Amino acid sequence: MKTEAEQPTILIVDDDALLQQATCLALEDAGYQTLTAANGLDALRLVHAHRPDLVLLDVTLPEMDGFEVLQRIKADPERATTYVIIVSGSRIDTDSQVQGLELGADGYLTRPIANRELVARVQSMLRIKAAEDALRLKEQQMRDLIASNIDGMLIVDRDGRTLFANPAACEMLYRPLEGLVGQPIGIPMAASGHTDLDLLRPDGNNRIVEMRVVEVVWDSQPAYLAALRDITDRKRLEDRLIYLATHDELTDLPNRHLYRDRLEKALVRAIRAGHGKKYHPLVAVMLLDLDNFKKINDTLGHLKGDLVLRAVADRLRSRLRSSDTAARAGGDEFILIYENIADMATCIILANKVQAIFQEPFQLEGQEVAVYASIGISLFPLDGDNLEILIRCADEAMYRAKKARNSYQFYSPAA
Amino acid sequence: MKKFGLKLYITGDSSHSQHAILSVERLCRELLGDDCDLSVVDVLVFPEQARRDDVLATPTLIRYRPDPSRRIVGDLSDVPGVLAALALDS
Repeated sequence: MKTEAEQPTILIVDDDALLQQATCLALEDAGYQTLTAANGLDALRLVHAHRPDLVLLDVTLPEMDGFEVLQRIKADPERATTYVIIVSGSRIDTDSQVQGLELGADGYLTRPIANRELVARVQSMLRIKAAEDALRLKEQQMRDLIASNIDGMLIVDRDGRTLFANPAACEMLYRPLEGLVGQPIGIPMAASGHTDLDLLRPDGNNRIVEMRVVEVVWDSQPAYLAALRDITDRKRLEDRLIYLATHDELTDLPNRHLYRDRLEKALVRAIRAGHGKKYHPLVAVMLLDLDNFKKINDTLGHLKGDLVLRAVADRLRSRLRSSDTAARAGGDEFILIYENIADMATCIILANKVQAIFQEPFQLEGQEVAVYASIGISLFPLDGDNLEILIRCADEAMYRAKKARNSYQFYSPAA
Repeated sequence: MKKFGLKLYITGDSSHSQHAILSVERLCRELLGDDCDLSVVDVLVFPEQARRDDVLATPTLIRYRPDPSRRIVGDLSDVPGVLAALALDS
């Protein structure tokens, strides 16, 4: 059985004592609790003190009329959701009803009205109110959840403008809520459920976030909820691990894994670039081996040897275009990849340039050390069309260069 | 002047930025018949431009022509979704 407190309470505002009492009895018979007021001020006082579920408000009241009472209830943010039904006599034209609705009334009744109809209309209005309350509660719960979430949450409208950002999102973007609302962030899209984004912060400390997008209703309008999780630290760690796995620790040059990958990609690009043309652009693979490294190690020690490798790496790095690759192939062996070379003449210029970096001695902690290198060169597509063959050819050419020392040789099958 | 004007904001050479460039280039070539001015702006190189355009995150794709402009942010690989969001699907 329902306790009294759970019964909906209805406030009847009417200056006609007889009508007020009749309405009251009919509703009490139907199981509702009632409150009564004969004028506007009393009505407002009761609304404030008792929060009735429904107000049946007569439009013709002494001093303060029903419209003004209605306006005051709706203007109070604490009580604006109170359900107010305008009650008018049949002699009053429909303009009054329309005016009431325009001022925020939730419905209207006209007198005379039979008890059965009155109760049925009240019941139906309370059902609508209950549904609206439930929806409001749900939206409030969603807002609370969003506001308190540790993930960043942005609400974005259908045109890509930000409607709301929770404190976590404001922090991620390093902007106050006022600086985000109305901003055209764009319609958020995450085709596979989630996607990575770079957030641009005014302080320059950009963050990487993983974004998920769901469609929601916000202020009764369709909108997007973009949930943002900061993955900056994880990404930086991943990037660092990938870098370490693909670079030589001593020289910081790409290692064997990375140069193989770069060469594969260079060959794919060259093959694609040559499609339908008479000539492919050339790719040169230069294998470079230091001639006197063992002697340097033996006479100056391994620490000096390491410095030599680093110094050679620095010189190689500084002479390359950004599209070229210099890598450490292991020991005192380096490999260079040059893409998009027009002809043999250019290859020879490049080979001379590489050899030229060994002309000047290296300065190692105040000590001058002369370093020499032998270079073997193979060319795509002349010597082969895959990585293994090109490296093998460059290796053979390098061994021929070794015989002369401090020189370069192009691969030639006859040799 | 080409019919469509697109501007893609990216951040450096991150993989999602490179992915976005490929997606948008394909979109221009295959679906907009190359009738499209596409510029790619790296916010690390041109931060002022990003500020002027109120770019908050990348990748952001702005369709600035025809007027009024529209923009999307995030994964640009869902072609029908991108076309619909930029109102290019009519």
